[in-house]
Amino acid sequence: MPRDPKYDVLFEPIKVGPKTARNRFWQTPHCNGAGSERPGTQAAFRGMKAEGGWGTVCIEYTAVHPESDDFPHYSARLWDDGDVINLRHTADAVHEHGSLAGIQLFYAGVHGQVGESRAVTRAPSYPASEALICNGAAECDEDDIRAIIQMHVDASLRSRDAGFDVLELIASDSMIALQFFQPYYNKRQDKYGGSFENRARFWLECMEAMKKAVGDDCAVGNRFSVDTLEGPDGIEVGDEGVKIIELMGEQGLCDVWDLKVGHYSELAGEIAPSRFARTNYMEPWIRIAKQASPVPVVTTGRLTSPDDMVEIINSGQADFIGAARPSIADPFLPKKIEEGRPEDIRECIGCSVCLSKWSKSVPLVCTQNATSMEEYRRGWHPEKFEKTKDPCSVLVVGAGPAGMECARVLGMRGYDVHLREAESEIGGRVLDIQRYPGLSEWGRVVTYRQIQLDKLKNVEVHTGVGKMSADDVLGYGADKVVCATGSHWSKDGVAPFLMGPTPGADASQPHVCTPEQVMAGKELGDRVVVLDYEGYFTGASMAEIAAEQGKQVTLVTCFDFVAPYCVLSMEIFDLRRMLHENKVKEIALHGAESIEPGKVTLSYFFRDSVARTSSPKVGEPARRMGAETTGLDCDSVILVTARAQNNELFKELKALKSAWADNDIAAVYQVGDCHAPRLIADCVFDGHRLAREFESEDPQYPLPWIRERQVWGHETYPKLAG
Amino acid sequence: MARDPKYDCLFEPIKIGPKTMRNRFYQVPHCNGAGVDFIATNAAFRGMKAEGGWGGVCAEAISVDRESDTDPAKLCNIWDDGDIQNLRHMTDAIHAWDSLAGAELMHGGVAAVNLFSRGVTRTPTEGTSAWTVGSYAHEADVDDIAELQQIYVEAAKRSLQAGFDIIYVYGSHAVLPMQFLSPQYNKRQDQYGGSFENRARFWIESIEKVREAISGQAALAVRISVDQIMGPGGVEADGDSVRLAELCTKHGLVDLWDVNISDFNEWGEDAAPSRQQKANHQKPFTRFLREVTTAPLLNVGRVTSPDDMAEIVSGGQADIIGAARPSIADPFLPQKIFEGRNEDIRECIGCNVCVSRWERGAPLVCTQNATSNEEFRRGWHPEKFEKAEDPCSVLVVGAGPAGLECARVLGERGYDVHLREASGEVGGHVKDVQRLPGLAEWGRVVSYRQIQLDKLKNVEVHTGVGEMTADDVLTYGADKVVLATGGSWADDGYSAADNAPIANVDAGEAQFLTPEQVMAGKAVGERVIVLDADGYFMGVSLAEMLADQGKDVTVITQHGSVGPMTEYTLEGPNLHRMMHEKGIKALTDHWVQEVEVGNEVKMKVYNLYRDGSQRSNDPVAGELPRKQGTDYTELEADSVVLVTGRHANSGLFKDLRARKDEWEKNGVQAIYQAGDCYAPRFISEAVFDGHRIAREFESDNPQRPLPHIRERLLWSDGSKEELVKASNTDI
Repeated sequence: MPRDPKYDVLFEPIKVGPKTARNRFWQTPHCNGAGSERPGTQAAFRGMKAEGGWGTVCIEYTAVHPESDDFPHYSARLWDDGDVINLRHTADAVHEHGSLAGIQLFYAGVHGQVGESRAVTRAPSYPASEALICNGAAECDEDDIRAIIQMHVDASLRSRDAGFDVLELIASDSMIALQFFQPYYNKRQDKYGGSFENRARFWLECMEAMKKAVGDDCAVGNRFSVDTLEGPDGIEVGDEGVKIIELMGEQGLCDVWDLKVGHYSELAGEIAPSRFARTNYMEPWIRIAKQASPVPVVTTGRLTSPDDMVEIINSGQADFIGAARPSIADPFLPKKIEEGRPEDIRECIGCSVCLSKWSKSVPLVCTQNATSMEEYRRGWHPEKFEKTKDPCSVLVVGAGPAGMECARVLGMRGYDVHLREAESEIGGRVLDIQRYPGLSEWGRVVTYRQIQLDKLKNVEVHTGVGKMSADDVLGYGADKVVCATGSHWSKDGVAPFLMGPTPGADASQPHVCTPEQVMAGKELGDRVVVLDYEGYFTGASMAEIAAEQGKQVTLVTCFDFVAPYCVLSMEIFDLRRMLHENKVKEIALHGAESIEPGKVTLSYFFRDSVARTSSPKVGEPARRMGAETTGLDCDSVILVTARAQNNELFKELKALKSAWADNDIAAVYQVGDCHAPRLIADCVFDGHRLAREFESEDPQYPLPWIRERQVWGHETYPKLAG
Repeated sequence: MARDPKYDCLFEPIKIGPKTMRNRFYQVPHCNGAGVDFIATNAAFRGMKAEGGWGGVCAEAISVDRESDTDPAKLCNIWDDGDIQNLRHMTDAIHAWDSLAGAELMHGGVAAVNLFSRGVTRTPTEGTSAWTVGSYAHEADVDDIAELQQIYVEAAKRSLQAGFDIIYVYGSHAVLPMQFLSPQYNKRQDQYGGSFENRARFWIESIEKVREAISGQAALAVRISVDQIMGPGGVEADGDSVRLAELCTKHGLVDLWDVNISDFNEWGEDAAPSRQQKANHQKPFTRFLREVTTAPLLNVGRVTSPDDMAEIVSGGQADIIGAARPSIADPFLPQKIFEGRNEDIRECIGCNVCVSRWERGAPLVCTQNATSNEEFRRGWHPEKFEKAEDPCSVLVVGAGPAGLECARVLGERGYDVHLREASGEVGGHVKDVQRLPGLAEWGRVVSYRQIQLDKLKNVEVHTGVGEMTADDVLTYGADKVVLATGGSWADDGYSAADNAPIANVDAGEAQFLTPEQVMAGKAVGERVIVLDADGYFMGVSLAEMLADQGKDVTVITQHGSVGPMTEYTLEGPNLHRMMHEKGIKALTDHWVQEVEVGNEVKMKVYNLYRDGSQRSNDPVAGELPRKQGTDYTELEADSVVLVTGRHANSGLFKDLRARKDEWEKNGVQAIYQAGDCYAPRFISEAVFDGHRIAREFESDNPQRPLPHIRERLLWSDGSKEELVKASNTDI
């Protein structure tokens, strides 16, 4: 289908400083964990987006100097000529598709972790980060300020030498320019502190120096949190947010404003999870700021709908459609609009699992796009699939995330696939999850795959077929079988720290529920206890559901605080605000000793003595055991304790292995939660990987991938002096 | 001084299977954050220990397969040809000093998180690790078990190719073999679960297969946690661990026993911080294995005293002295005993800052040894110092950790140093810290340096000289000056929690105390609030000290738990127990809204998450873009201890900086700042600062570090082909 002309506006070129962007799609700087140390991974990842139609593709935050080392978090770096060599490869990969390569320069100030360099970071004033533990910085004098500006100049020159077209100074996420600009961080009494003009001085001087250094060759812009969302204590768009844009406009210091909102200790202001913010959630702030800008403006806000994008350009909200997460979920989003097939867009679900990986200092993964970060090391292309030479028939049992993805990729590869689902709808556990408060967008895991499966003539999807037995599978007539039968929540309160069930936990009784039962409508009493030993979204969601039903809820967790994984995905702030609003009582570092009708008995994890025995005896604990417990009166207990794999089918088939050959079955594999319950992202990956490697010797186990590393015997940079 | 013959037993060679170790000093496997990816760093780090006299030096745990990756906490890997090539470089560095190189082969089982590889780990029984939120392992069937054992065999063969002399089947800290042995993890009902024989089967078979694979070319070691410290549910000393050792001994399967305790969920019971366990703390647990084994045995326990070591070996507790942390703090510990200069040993203080870095996915650092992990990238040797070509005179102002270390290294380098300390003793804030409950050993930061400074003829130490003014410094007559004037706790409640002082808080009043004032004996009332925005040891330590004095103590912190940094140092669990035992209350995720001072202090504290979860879509300047919460909790106290934030004592530098034009005429060429007076940080960073400035004292600007070597792949057209080959793949 040809493209609707209303989308043409998205493909109009536009000038940015001395450069011209070929369209309005701008992949804003975002981390992927590759930095400048894994140049092949980085280049393939960014190059894929350029190939997919993003007219401007930026690399992540790039440290200008070892003082701004964020390790163990991965940033790119431009500390030396070695980094230029490595990043040049990324710029080349982006240029290959006619796109502009962008870079975002940062100096972390108080938030520099310096985990590798052990240098001392410098900041305008008070030397500690509110977001990190015990993170100290030195206070700048004027020599220091000049030195930091010079670092930006040096890094700008290196950026240009590495081939970057667009330089963004990071004046967001509470980095150095904002630390000077924001009175919260800047308590100086010299010409760099106090009045608006003084607090803006560092930033203006830095921009001026960068522009002078590279302004003829590169566009120089700002990534700016136009409102830090902290109210009068922070930067507000209606006040200094707009004033600085006007001032830079008057002085001609900025070629492009890449705008957002939020601050470092609550990055979710900008990188908002779908649970708490809908698409284009920054619109009100960006619209106000755009009015003040004489140069192009980039907006973000997890935009995935082509119609929304058109509206943003036409209504004057912004000149560029900025995107980080939507470009991860679908590197080919622009191309799909361009080719008139918006239904093929793999939309970001806003789970922020990508971000959770950066928080954890490991490479990014994406729930929707299993090929993300695998472009180089596994050679995967998100839209291209190697046709199989031997298109045998494959039965995929179970249409949850792993089964759907496996069937889709096998289908793209030309296999003859039957995907069979016991229930009447495909989606597996996502069918429940998308009905949790705020998580409806997570249903895109299913809808995207449903649309794609519908298009594949060689894939049949059978729903409502009931549970298949081993005999059903053996007699089905498929050459190969993939089990993707998922998992279920433990019905007897299996706890990781007990490695066994919780005494008295039995979800067949009326006062005990699993999450599945809650979603199926099992009735809850007035006082509800949620036992959360998972630490991610389910426990808090169950608490929210119960609270919305008007119940009095206590959320008990074995962790230091509720939902620790949500710290990594940055859902934690609004999640805990939500719990507070709903008057959910939180009890941390406790586990249930027993459950009985009307009562849960809890014990504190650290009730035993510090002192350890010096005469150990078998059968006696090594420390004096505490015995005190807390009894909670309650009417219902929801068990979010552990998930168990549905692996009965596989076990039965394995026991009948001798019968496979008679039934012409060459192999049986397992993917997703039935193999090992994990994040949805991992299930999708499992199904995808198995289908990509379907002809390998044993597709159950991954083929080796390319490991980017120094192999001893090659040069390091710089060489050791002397 | 000649070595006392009582230490000779430590230098007797010992046979370990087919190999002979030259003495009784053995660096057990421990992480340093380098892995195989930073191989030159790792090889230099391990080679330095061999040079310093450790007769056996192990790499950190070595992952046997891509399905067991612990990123971001780094281990070594032995997955492919590239790893063999890199690890060979490490064993060469160890062999250069005639020491044996050990490879601790590890499959993490449920402890493998696979965040880099995206592999799926396998375990005896389906389950999730307490380390891995939301991630479960695959339960191995018998085919999987055969594959897993083959994985060990292949890894052992690669280890031989990489030149290792001692190859482990590692089961301590409850990694895979222990997960089979421990009924805590193993709930199987087949031949690999149930009875002791069945639970031991996986480990025994793996040992047998590895032994066959290495066929006498290397020694086979087993590292075992003899007690998981989890009570009767887990493996206990004198229980299953002893029976396993008996079985192995009966069949002659093991050449070396490397014995410790704990489970990975609480491995601070093994790598125990000094605040909770003293030297040789594992002795009561490890003795049982001694009684049933014949092969050489070693154990650990942060042993730093040569006398303790001699007693352990001659008294029969163990044949070999195992050490991780003591070997980090002093790679030359054996050599110093050998040469009869025990007083030069730089003893580990047991702070576990080394562990904290691994837990956070960053390279190891050491409070005592600033050169640790800097051997390659900065070219630093812990015992060798380049003599200054131009030994000018240097005034170091302040004898805290940074000043002490800076003076020591400048002294070693031949400078003419005057170290001047305002108070009557050297040590800076460590003098207070070492008096906190359980932290006495931290005083070794001072005592080691004091001994070394006493030996340096070209360093004068002047104590009790009072605070120096800018005039004092300018006219002192030194060519160069290093300021190391330290940091102080804020007296007005200023903290990173809200980057502002707290109204009505003033340590000039009786009701409020800084940590320094508490330690100096300022009176504390009965009901005490400790405001802890810092999140490390000071808040919880003062809470303990005051609880010990019978006070009613409540800790308020904006962090999600009390002392979150202590989770990384492994002090956390026992600190939680201590607080529980001593009745210390805590309010986490809370900070101060308002303080009212009368006869008692009334304090309103708020929950950090009290504001609305929904954001406004109508930004108005002057308003918070969400519903502002107003609820609070009210507390009363007689005293409030302010562990809020630290300030740099930068006044002297600022005064001197303002008079820069007078430097030259006073003969002062340069003034630098080291340690907390530049930026308040950990003690390890202050020591590092002082050390680095002294090492780089002739650089263009020693205030700023010289570039270090960054080990990384440099992109070239040939990179991909080379990596494909090294990764044993064909993409």
